[in-house]
Amino acid sequence: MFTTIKVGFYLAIKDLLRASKLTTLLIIFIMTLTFLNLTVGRGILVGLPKGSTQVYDERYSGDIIISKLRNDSFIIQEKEIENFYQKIPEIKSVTKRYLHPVTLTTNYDARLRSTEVSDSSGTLLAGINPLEEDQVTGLSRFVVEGEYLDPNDRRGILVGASLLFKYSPIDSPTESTIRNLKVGDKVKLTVSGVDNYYFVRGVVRSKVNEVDRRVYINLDEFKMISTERDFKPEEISFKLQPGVDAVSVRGKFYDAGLQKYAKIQTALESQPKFLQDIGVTFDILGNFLGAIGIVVASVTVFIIIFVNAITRRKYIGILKAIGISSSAIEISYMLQGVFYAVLGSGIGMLILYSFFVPYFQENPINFPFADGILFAPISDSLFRFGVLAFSSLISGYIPARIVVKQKTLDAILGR
Amino acid sequence: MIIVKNLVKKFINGSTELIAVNNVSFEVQTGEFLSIIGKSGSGKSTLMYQMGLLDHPTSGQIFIDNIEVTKMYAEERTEYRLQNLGYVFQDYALLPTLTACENVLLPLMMKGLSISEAEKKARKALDQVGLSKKYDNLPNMLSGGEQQRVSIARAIVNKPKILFADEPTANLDTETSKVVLDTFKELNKQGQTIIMVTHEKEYTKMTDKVLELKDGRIVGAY
Repeated sequence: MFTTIKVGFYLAIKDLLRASKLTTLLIIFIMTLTFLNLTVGRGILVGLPKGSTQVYDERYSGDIIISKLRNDSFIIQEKEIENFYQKIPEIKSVTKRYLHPVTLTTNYDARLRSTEVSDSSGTLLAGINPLEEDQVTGLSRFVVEGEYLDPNDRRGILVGASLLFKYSPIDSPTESTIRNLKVGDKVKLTVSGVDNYYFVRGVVRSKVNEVDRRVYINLDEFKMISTERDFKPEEISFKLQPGVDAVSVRGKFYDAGLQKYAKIQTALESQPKFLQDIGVTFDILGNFLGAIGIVVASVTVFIIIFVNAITRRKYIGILKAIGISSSAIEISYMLQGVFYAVLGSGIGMLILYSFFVPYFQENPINFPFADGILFAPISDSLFRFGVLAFSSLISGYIPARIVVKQKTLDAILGR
Repeated sequence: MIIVKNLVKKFINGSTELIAVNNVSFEVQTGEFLSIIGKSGSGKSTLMYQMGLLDHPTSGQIFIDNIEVTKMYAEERTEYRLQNLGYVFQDYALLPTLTACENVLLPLMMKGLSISEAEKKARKALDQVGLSKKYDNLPNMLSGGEQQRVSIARAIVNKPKILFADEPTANLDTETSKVVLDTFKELNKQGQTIIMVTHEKEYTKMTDKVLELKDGRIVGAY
């Protein structure tokens, strides 16, 4: 068997070395395109939901999020939870969010007619420590108009972009957005029937609905207007040290039995199910497109090897006549197929990671619900590399087998 | 020794049946130089292909050193050809992507020799046919006569039991033909069994035995 492989390898090397350079380059170019088609096309498709879950994690939930239980109004035993997490060294930063339903109203004093309705929207008011929130979610990076909240500013608020018609043009009976709101406007926040007035300092747009449908205010001011007697947060988000596994940290909370007091979830667990469903669907679509790509690649290699073998039918006959085994001849064609696939895919990998991935990292595709990234982890690309090489091996084998199986004499005499 | 018994080869083309070799029997002794002659279409090449295990007869038997080779399967025949037979074709049948030396060393590699050992022996075989300076030439850089000598070197490098030559001089001029035939004569002197198909009657003078074929039958053996 070793001799057969050695002769097959020798024949393949000689064929490749003495083949037309232009043809070889063209075939490798086709294989490079095929590999990029497999990885980039699928990567962008899968990158949409991945980007969406990534922004959810980075801009809202953090690595771990603790939220109130279904039947509670807030996180009970907050102090016990706080005492516990302060002792966990893997936690890098923490932010608490205190929430209260409010109505945000603009042009409340500028109605021309008594029949004219003011511009308002029901929303959640989030009391935050701007610095802590920024450390966990980087909220300040998503201010698209105006400026971020100053920790000492008691009269200012940040408005989520999804509350504004300008960013979220929804006009339905169940959901309304505000049409006339500018940075610097004085607006009314009605909390449990009590009106409070603030100035809009900025508009935040993070592409995460949970973030963009809220109004943000300094925690001290929130405490002043909140009607809750027991003042406790509804959400606590944690950012972990780099490389720390969120599941293991969540496990520590569980081991301490804190899940009795609050819902403790990793970012992935806390994501809305529709996001996960979209991810699964796009993954299936991506794999389907990938499978088509593999078939196209296999057919390409098949045609290349078949044309190569059929035009060398006579020489295959000669090889058999002088005693070269069919297996050695088949191996030589299989290796040629693999060579084209490996070199094409290798160049494709180089282009993918030196150009496409950095490019999409710097210039994500702007989708309303996510920053479309190119999802191409090395393990996935290596898997596709392997699949392409394997399919090329088979695609090289089949045409070679067809030609090799022909009668030796018929091949030599061209019958 | 080769024994051919009642060999028949038929070709069927639609409803037409053509008998290319018709019930042929003869023997070739070890070390003998046999030439098979006949007009075009007489069945001489077809007969040689059956004996050289390049084709399978319709019926009859061929024994080489008491082994019935007609019973062998395709892969067995390939292995047998590698170990025991050598071929020289009319159109040289060299592999165009391999140099003269590479063409010759390929059967040796298939026999399990390392590339360096095979190369050494291949060069020796090329020296034997007078192509010492053409080791690294591709076939398209060689003349017809040189290509045929590379083909002979490839055929003899494995020290085959039998060397088959199918009209080896058909594409060569008289002078080059003489060189090729002299090479055969020299090989035969060294004990090589040779079976040569030719339509040139004068070349039969140098062979030990002649079979003359007509319409697939032996019409003369001398």
